[in-house]
Amino acid sequence: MKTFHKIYRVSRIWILLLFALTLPYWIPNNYYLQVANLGMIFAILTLSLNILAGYTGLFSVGFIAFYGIGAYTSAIVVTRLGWSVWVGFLLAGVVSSLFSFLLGLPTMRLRGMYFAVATLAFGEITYQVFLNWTSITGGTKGIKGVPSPEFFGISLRPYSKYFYLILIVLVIVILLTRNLINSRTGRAMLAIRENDIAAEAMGVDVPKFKMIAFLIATFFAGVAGALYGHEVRYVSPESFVNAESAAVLAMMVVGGIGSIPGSILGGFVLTMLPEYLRFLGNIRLVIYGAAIVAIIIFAPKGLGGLIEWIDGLLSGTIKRGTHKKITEKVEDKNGHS
Amino acid sequence: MVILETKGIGIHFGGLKAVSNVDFSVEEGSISAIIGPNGAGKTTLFNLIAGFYTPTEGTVHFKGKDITKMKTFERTYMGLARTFQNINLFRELSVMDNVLLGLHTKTKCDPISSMLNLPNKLKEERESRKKVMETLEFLNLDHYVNEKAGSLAYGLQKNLEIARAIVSHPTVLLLDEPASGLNTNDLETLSQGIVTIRNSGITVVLIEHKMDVVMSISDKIAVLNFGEKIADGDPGEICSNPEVIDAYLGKDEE
Amino acid sequence: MNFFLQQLIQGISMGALYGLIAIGYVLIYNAWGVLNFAQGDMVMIGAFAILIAHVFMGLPLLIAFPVAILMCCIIGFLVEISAFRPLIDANNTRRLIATIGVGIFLRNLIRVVFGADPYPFPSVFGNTAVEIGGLTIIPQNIWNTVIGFGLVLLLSIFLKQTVIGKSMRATAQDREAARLMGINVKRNMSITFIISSALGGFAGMLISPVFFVIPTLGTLMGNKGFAGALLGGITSNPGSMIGGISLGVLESFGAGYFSSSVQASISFGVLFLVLIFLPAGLLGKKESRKV
Ligand SMILES: Nc1ncnc2c1ncn2[C@@H]1O[C@H](COP(=O)(O)OP(=O)(O)OP(=O)(O)O)[C@@H](O)[C@H]1O
Ligand SMILES: [Mg+2]
Repeated sequence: MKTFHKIYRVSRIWILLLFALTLPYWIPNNYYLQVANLGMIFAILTLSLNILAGYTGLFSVGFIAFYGIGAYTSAIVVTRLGWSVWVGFLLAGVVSSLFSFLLGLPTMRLRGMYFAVATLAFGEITYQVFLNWTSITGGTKGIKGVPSPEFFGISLRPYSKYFYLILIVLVIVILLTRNLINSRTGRAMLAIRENDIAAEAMGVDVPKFKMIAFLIATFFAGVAGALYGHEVRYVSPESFVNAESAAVLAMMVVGGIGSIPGSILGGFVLTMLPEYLRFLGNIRLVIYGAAIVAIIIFAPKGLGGLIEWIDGLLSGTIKRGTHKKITEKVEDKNGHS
Repeated sequence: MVILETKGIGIHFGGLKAVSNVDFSVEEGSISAIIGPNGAGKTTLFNLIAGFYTPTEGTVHFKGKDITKMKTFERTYMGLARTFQNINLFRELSVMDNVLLGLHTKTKCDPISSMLNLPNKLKEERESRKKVMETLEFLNLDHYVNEKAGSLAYGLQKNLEIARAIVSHPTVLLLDEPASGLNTNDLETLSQGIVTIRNSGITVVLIEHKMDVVMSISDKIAVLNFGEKIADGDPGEICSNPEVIDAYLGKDEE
Repeated sequence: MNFFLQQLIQGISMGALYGLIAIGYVLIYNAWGVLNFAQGDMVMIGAFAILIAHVFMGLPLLIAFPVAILMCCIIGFLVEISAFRPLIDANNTRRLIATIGVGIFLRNLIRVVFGADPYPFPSVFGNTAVEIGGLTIIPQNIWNTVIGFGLVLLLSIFLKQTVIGKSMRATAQDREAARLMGINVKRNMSITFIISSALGGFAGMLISPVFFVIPTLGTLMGNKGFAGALLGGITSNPGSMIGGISLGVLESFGAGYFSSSVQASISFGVLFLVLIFLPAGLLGKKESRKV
């Protein structure tokens, strides 16, 4: 049993990587390949929402706006100014962060609820701008002919090639997020989520670290948006409506708040599933709504909790008995005031 | 030398004068105690010193500087650490992470190098973790390093709060009722621990109801009642002060 | 001058409805500590309820109104008992997400059942305008204002004078203490949600002749109600009525003196301005935190 755990612990990451690298061969159908690509893009987006909401405890209700800003930024600089797609990707992140900075300035001092509402309003306004600023965004018609990137002369236009670009970005985002969480900055973010009073007592400048989380999260969201624009080669307002924010929130909750594997799985599964359940039509969002509520009540750790549990069993880090050192039941911290 | 001082400090909540016109000073390297009946304003005084509340009157001085207008986190950076009466741990985080957060002011790795795992971050992490382990060993918490803080027993949680507060080796440590909820065996250990902390160069201010702890280790004691300071002095003076006996010691101990 | 008064009346009558929605937010915020992101959707439910009762079932208004209100109450109760009650002691994050989930659920359920197209609703109060001193007042204006203020008055009497109301206020102030005093906290929570749903529903019914009845009505009205509540200080019932009316009047002047496209962005503008300059709102108390 011990050797099995050992083998598992060493090999799990390679098995996962092998699976990811060969995925395009498992999905020969071009259409489903595109959906898989979209799933990975949403995994990136969900991960970035998770940095904000899951790790820092800041709920952004109109998060899709930053994804949209990224998509439009890249599409505009590439199609109108003729800049390189790669520059577009980078700029997408930067511009998205820039907007979050402006939005964060007045709201980071305030309680989380106000922030949630401000982002909701921001999402609405952004959508209206996409829709009505026709000279720049193309209005309802959107921006057509967004080019695919090229890599040393190889066009990444086929979905099977673009897949690897998204995969690389996804892996980078995962690594950066993981490193972040295991750092001074990440811990400050977690502290704010857990107990902002204690965080202050530790010397954490709460508004500043909220802002850092916001900037990082929206940078990734912007890049994800650009990835989206260059994948479907067309950007229009209806991809960034309120309902999409709801979908991303569902992905995060279903995946598991505060879990990296959960976010990826949530983004991926909730993008793929509706494609296989097309007959459901509009019921998709009804189910999302119900699923959010059910999971938050019955399984707040979501799919990520399940994954981590299975992983713990397989790698032998969960053993019966060792976990329960605790005898005394601890009073809730709010019990005395 | 006086390291920490309040001058005529006070705060009222609506009509209630929780603290009023309190002069309180702490000598560097000493153990000072604040005592007083329930609701006397002891915790509120701590909150005023630490910057959680803004006083309606008076000033706070620390290391010779007027810090009345400073934010809480800035005071922590200056070397003011505290524990809470009603335990404020990061419950979902591990014991290790909780104490690592105590080192927030002593570390400075920026977000970018954090994400990229640059050498400066890895070095800082290594050193921090080492320091945390030393502190955990000192407080007998090293077996629990990977447990969630919220899952620890009450007494261990209290210890963890102390660990988190002293890991950065602050100038002044404010302890709010460290002995509450502990059994008699642990009281002795606690008293010794506090003395050891003081001997390591940290000035200690503690709020405590357990008189044997207070009397045995304090250099100076201040007594609050209804938000006002009614006496201060060394343990001998406090024991024989009639007003104190009247207000506090005369009543049943908690 | 007449134009000014005309816009003022128009603004007050819309604002009274915003105030009703705002109070729904405030009641739940006070009792539960979390903003109910599904509150706007209760407005939409109210509009559909009256549509079903009056237009689809053909009930006369006097019967349709109570029936629709009853529907709102039942839905509010069902939502509370299934989605919110299990989370009564959960942390704010989980509760906030639950309210967002409920909103998504309701909005899309209605969309699946009734489609995304708008339904027109007959003008129930009649279109014969009344001329008073050169001002044209349509019955809708009067009814909105009368019902809006009437309900707020009733609510405050209920909260201040009745036993249940008093115990609800105690629950809102300190849930733990209320529980220790033997107050039935769960029942009070249910009542709070039912009342908030009913108030939202009322607003939806009154609004349906003005706007089309459409599943996204809740998002629109939710934003306005929220802006009103925020302006009023988020914790105060009269404050949110004042906030709602101020917003209504601002919108009406914006539309009258500038253009109707200005009107749409006013609630957002108010929202951001309040967040930046007046986080405690007009009547809210500065939140003192307890350490
Ligand atoms: N944020 C606040 N808002 C309103 N009243 C407060 C606040 N903080 C403290 N008080 C009140 O101030 C008074 C003093 O409280 P404090 O907690 O300082 O007492 P204490 O001396 O620490 O008592 P104990 O020994 O029970 O801990 C109490 O009446 C308390 O209710
Ligand atoms: Mg106290």
